[in-house]
Amino acid sequence: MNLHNQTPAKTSSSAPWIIAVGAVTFALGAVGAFTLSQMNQSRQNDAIAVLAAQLAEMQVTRAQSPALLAIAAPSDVAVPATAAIPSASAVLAARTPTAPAVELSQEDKVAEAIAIVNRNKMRMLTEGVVAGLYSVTAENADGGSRIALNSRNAASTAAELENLLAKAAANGDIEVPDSIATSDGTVDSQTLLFDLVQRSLQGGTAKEVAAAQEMRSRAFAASAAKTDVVEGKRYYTVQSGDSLAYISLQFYGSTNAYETIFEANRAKVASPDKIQIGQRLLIPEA
Amino acid sequence: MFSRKFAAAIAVSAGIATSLMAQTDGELINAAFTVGGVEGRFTQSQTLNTALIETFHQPMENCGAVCIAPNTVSADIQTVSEREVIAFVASTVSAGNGLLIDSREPEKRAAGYISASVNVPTSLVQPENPYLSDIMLALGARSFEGTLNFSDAMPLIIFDDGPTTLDAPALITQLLGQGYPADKISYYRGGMLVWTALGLNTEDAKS
Repeated sequence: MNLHNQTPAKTSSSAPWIIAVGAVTFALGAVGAFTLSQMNQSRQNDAIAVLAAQLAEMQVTRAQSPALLAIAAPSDVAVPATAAIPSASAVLAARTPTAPAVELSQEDKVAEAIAIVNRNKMRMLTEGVVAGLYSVTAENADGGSRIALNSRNAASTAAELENLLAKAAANGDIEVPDSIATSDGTVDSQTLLFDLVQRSLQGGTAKEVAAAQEMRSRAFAASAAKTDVVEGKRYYTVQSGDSLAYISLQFYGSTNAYETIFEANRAKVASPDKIQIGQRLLIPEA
Repeated sequence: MFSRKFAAAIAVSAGIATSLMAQTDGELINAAFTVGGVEGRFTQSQTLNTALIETFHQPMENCGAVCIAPNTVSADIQTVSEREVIAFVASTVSAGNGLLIDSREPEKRAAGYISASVNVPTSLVQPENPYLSDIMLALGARSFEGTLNFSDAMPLIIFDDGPTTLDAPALITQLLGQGYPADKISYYRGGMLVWTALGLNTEDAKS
């Protein structure tokens, strides 16, 4: 499904189980307070900005335009089979105080319920991060140690969201930014989760900005990545499962510094999704 | 007899540290290393320099009735012997991947030190030192927005004057407090006192 799908009817009919990730992203936007200017800047960026732009777009267009990023619900959060596809935009519109009142259909009510649940999940996770109720650890996975976000107030929620993102990405229901494409062609949903949480915090309140910094600090400290320093320059060798965003997370504590690495390695990396296992990337000093 | 022992001289280079361990049994130590482009050699003599040994006997101050350093600094810090120190210098330090650290004050170090060691006085590695993070970076840590990451930090063996002093345990405690991984730190408890008592060679400020 195309992210830029502006047609609610098509959205409604193209997938049997749609939950309004628009609602999730609405929550993201609400928590993170994306501004219009941020959105425009995001759009100018390529790759990693795709996701942010989509989220931001939601905020601006939701009142007048039905553009909605919808993703298929995995079976474990599937709605009852009798529920037809709701117009998620209608749900959102109905929840927006300034929007005209919309008579909700049964389907819409189901969708709204799901939307609320997802919105609350994301909010719970993000609020937990703001409250410091999480840890970032390096966990042993296939082929080495990987950074993971461990939520203390919403552990199952984080896992569920990660799962949801992975399925949505696998189904092509959301467009994964190039920078999150891994060296072996898979989708790194854990990095996507970091990306979402960090985006939801940036440009927010002072408390949220501080939380974002704390999260960068924890992610940076947790990384088990090893580097070589040659003539004062730091190099990292791409491992299986790495994406540019994940490498950025390891050396700068956040996914969005991927461009720094990309720019420093333009000579050997054609685009952010084109890093290869074994490639030596220059990691500029922050 | 003398020549037979020295006939067993082994030039140790990176990667054959294990063979050093095996071949020095029953023989005096004679192991070459190259650190920072400078060649050096660990040798062992049967004639002891008792005056030097005495300078390394530093009664601890305010340590109560018994002034003996603990055998272990903490549960996850390995305590090592001279053999490990020599093998570590010959392999890891020679390859540029580790440091043998003398935790004593420079004045004490001037009397004599183990070849290839570098001086990082315990008094420098204190939270009050504004340049503390620079020291951590020198040990291989990475820094971002004031946070340290120790994935690239070098393995260290830390010593002091020996079992009658606590400089090394104190330095190890400070490093652990900064987040330095315990599995990258070893404690050479014997220090200068035991090193010289075993007839192992030292360098001093004059040499």
